[in-house]
Amino acid sequence: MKNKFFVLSVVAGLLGVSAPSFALSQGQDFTNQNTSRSILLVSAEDGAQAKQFVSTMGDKAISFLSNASLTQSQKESEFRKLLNQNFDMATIGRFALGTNWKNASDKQKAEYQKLFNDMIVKIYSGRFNDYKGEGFDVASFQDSGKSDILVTSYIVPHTGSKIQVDWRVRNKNGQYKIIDVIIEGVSMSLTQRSDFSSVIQRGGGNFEVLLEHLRNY
Amino acid sequence: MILHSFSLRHSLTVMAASSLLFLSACANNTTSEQGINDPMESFNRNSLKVNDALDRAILEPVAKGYRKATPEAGRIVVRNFLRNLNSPTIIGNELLQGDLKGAGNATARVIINTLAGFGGILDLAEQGGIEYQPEDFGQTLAKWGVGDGMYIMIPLLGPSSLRDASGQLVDSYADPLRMYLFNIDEEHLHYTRVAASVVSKREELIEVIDDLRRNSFDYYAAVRSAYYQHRQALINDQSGATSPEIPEYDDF
Repeated sequence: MKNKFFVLSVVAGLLGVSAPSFALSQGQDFTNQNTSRSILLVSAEDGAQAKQFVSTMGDKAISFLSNASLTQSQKESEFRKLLNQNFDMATIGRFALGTNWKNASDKQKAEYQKLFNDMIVKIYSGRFNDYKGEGFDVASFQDSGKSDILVTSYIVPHTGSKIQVDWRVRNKNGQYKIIDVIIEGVSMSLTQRSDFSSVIQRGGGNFEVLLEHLRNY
Repeated sequence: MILHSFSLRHSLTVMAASSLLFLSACANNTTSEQGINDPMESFNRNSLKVNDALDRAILEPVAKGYRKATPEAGRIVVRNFLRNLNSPTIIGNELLQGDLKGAGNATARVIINTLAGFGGILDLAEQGGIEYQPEDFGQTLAKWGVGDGMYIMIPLLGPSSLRDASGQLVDSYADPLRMYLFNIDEEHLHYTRVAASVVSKREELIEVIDDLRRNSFDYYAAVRSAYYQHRQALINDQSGATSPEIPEYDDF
């Protein structure tokens, strides 16, 4: 019993330290705001188009992934095609650098973008053989930010729980492009940005340190 | 990540939490790119090294062995059963968050799955469209407006925050099933459940952790970022909407 009270008082202490204010409705407001915004900015037509775009991309991915007659390198080139057609790699790579972008020279930027592209291809190529016929369902959309549409999809295995994947889609000159992939709430771009920025920071702010990592990946 | 036993787990959390309180008072305020407060970074980095080594030596091989030895259908049965045992904690936290719909869903789930799903081994509720929504006291505190305090990589346990570690403590103490098992002197069943949960969860995460290890240059920064993002999604009960906005660049 004594022990229990000790623990409780520690917890109470912790809460006191980290809880300057109790705002009960904060989380709920956030959700409401999002729903009402989506009515204002994204028309049903835009949303349906963005959904269709993601769905088509997913079908193409599944068709090459499940094609047993393709070799690994053929799959890789299919993937590269898919990536360049459907993803705005320049924006994704740029975001992953964050504020470090402005400290890089033009030559470094160009090399970085190329290496970044290669890295993404390598990351996903290693997973081609993990595909076991999972389904891909595009479920819904909502608006996000100034002009983006967040398309929610699910990867559905034959047994077990489905995995939520959200796609941040941006209309660029009349063409939809994916600028972020969010798996179960974790943005690939943001995770990469945290990683890259930490590498540069721990390398004494030297951009070359990141490039060296990318060259060796 | 590795939870040996209830008491060890808790004394460690308490120890870590109280020593952290002291240390945080002395540490410099360091904030990461993502705005994460991580004044204990050097301590945390060492903890991760230890945790990672232990994981590679013990937990990961156990999880891989479990995957190899148990067909997928069997592992899903185990997962469903363990999730069902967690229902009181989920319902309680949904109520504390004022989420009556969530509490209703969790209650319906436990009733359906326990009675029709053979004691929780089948997740019939999910097949009927009532999905599993994990809730814990850390999330409840966040809904109440409590900040995360700071990031902590807890030795043996893994990534957490001051708030989430405190929440975990409260959840374990308040868990009616744990109280019941302790009251009838069947503590070992509680430990078995905790151990099974750890192995089952680690098995689920085999690819996720593999990817994070292989695809990051600074594993520590990647884990920290992913942890905060995942928690934020759980707190808001939605996945994509908490992702960052991406500027429209024009300076390529």
